[in-house]
Amino acid sequence: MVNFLFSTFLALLSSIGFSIIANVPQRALLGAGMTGVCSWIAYYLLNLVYHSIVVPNFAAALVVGVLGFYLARRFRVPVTMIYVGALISLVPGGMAFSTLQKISENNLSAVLKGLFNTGCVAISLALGVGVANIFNGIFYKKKRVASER
Amino acid sequence: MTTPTSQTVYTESDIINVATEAGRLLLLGGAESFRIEETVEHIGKSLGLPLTCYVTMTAVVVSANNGVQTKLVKARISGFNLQTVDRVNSLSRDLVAGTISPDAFYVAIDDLKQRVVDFPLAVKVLSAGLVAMAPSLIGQGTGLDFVLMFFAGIIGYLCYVMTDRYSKTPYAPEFIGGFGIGLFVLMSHSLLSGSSSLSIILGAVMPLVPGLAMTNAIREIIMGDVLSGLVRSINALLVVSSLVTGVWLALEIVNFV
Repeated sequence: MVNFLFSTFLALLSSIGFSIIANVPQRALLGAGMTGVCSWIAYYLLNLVYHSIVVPNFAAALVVGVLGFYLARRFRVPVTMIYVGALISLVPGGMAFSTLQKISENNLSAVLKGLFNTGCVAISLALGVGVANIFNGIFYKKKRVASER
Repeated sequence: MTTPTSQTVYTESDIINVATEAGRLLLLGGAESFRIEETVEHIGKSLGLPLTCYVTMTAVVVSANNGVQTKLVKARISGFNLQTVDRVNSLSRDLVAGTISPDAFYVAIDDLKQRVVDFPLAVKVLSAGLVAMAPSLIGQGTGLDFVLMFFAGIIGYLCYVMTDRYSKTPYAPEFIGGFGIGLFVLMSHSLLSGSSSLSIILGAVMPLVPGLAMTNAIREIIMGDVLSGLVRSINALLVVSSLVTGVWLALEIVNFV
């Protein structure tokens, strides 16, 4: 429980911090933080239940896609600005790092496993955001025609 | 490019120039390829000259649909600057909606080209420290480790920014950043014996690793921009390799001495 609360707090800090590094406009920071926290909660809870890495990441990216799209419209920013910060706790950057580090230890099976896992996480995140876009397209169809372009 | 005054009839090259400039700014800011192409084509349509745009990771090609003129600019990506993307996006949306005139659009794009909007360096460095305390490492480190991650992240990002400012060598900033992290972790390990080096390193590289670039690359491949997606993923791979090399070199040198 302590771990859960602490990591959720860290997820908030990470999302806002990476948004600042990527230089998003200030009005997107709050949305990025909220989306990051919600997706982290989804990831953490599902990670306790499932032993696969695909399902929790997919679900978390789904949350990012739906909530991020809603908040992007709410705060009037392009949706990428929300994704950048919100996905940072999920993206397989550290995993890619430790994979390549295994090369220097000559541990081939660990390298192959790491490459496979990194690819799986990246693909499931991309698919989660993509599937969320299908829903967004259905929900916001009328409004989009009126307001965009 | 001279900025046309009001009541000027825009020539084709003016329109292509300003659309290309907007596309280049978007590319430098780190927007996705399909978004850039869409934006440039909308700008062209609303200025009265249908354009076709093609973007790879290093170039923007804009061609008029009547086949008379084409312009190609090269760009070199370094990191994200999403405020520029946001400004260009909202400007082009205003232009399409008709709330600002083409003249104002020309002036604003020109202005945006010269002025870089940015957070202060101190804020960015501090937030790199926050990113370094990665939530995915929970349970793999003690409280002390997380404090050390914060400082290691700050050191790594500071090395990265400083090298980026003074060096043009590709992948040097990531290398030096990794090297700084390695040295700091070794130092803290010898001073405070209770810290676990591996999880500190994993946390500290979080601001520098291109996890987002990898995810975006796959998104681009799904959206049909296979070329630019592949280029981005290879770039991400090289960035991670240079980080690992930096950290590894620091560890090896200290072991050796």
